[in-house]
Amino acid sequence: MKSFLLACMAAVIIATAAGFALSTVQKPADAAYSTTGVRL
Amino acid sequence: MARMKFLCDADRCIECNACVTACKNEHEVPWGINRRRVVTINDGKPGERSISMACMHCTDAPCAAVCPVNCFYTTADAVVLHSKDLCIGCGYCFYACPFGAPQYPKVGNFGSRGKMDKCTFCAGGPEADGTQAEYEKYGSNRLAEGKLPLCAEMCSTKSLLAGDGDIVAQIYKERVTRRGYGSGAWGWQTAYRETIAS
Amino acid sequence: MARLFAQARFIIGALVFVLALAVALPASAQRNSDGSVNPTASSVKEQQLLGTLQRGGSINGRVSIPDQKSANLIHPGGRDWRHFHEVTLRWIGGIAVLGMLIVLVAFYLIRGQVKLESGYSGRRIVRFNAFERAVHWMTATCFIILAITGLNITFGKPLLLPLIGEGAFADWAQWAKYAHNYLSFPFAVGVFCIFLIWIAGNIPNKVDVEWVKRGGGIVGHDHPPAYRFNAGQKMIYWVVVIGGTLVAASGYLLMFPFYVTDIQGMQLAQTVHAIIAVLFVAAMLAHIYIGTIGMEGAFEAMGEGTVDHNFAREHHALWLEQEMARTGPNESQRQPMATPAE
Repeated sequence: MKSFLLACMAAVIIATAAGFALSTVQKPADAAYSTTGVRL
Repeated sequence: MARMKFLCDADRCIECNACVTACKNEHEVPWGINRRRVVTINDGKPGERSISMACMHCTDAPCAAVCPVNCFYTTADAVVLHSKDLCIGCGYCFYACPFGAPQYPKVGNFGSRGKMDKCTFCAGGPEADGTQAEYEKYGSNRLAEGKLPLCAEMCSTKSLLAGDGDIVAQIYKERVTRRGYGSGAWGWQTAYRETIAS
Repeated sequence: MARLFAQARFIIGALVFVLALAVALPASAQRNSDGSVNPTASSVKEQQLLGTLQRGGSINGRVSIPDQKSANLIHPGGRDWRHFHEVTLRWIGGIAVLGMLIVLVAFYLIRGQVKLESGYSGRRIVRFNAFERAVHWMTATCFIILAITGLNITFGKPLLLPLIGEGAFADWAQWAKYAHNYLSFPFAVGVFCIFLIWIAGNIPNKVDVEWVKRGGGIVGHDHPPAYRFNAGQKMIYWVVVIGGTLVAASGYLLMFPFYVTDIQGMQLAQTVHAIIAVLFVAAMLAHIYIGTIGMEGAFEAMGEGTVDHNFAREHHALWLEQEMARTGPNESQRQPMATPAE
């Protein structure tokens, strides 16, 4: 039982960490598709 | 009832992008979202052709078919619209669309790509016609006011036609007959053994 | 001297004339016989465009906006992908998952639970340590949620949406997609750990061939010997490792759309992801069955780590031999002395 609960916790922690890491990589369309000539 | 269609007359399109600008301005489309775009084939070479392309409002819309949450619907005018409230941003409609019409506010598909946005034929969305809520999500609803899409209205050469399919076809047929060749329209070569390069 | 210069000038002039002619020659393709220009001579022709589309290619041009995907004017490949996703995949998934469920139910009704012939002895032996169990349960729980949320993408619209309505279904699907995307990371970590910790025991060998030939104890009531993992478990191991890797790789391509590949690549990634996933689900249903109700004394191995000696003897005799011959904390009972005490 203990290993199962630890496993669930580990899953949630890894998933949350991944979520935070990905949100830093996430680019909105206006940033991704703009050139130097654009003033947003 | 009218069956709404777009037709871009590739012989008249001069790649001025007035249609793109009109659409962006009218619906306050954010930067990075391209509801309408002008594609130029054989750019710089003799015989270059430009076509303005947005959502084609298909009869059996592939976007609607693959949407996992069924957020698309077709109006009585055969305009294909969708609900941004139901959209989960999975990106499948873009994989199915032959014309690349769906646009997303986020680049990565982490959880969601954001709410899909696309050409609405200036017909808004499921919210009540002409309301602020509808405008913020989908842009202006010109069809509800009895007007046609602004891209076609603003076209400088009247190459982009939008409206009742029968009337659009009639206009194009007049042009084609007057020109005497098919502008690459499908079937012309089969029927008349004539192609644009002859 | 002057004559030499005049000759040189003449030769150079001639060369220049020929050069000018050569440069001008390709343009003659644009000219009609009367010398006027035919501006549409090199336009794309109807047949050429139609042929491209019919061959499954796409029509591309040039756009002036930064999103280069929009340079693609028409790409008919989406039609084939749409048919795959709406029709083919539902058939494959339905047959795989429902078929496996039916097979399992039928098997249970016909064969029943594989019981311990000698019953429980009361002596236990450690089969999986805490780390192994934790890794397994992390991977398994993630798999369950990934499977349900993944199947929702394919089957939610026809099966669940009519029951709960569009609004509720869209909310559920939204959270399901978040769960699916983020739980993929612990799942991938788990699959990788599983690959590492159990690769040693899962290399196929001759014992496995014999085990399969003797029905594996499932077909018939034989007890063919096996090491720590029998052939059936090794199959599951490789399904998990290979399937898990493929499904993770294709899944991450889908999560980073167009980072690496174009639209055809994305459609292919989704196709691979979906097919592997539904087959994976079917395989895991069998694994869950055999590990829970399918065999008496099996669940405890992963549930609390030990199995009964009789379970080990009947199903993993060679492994039991190895364990009994080893010293160490894995034993719950000390081995008999090799030499008599003096």
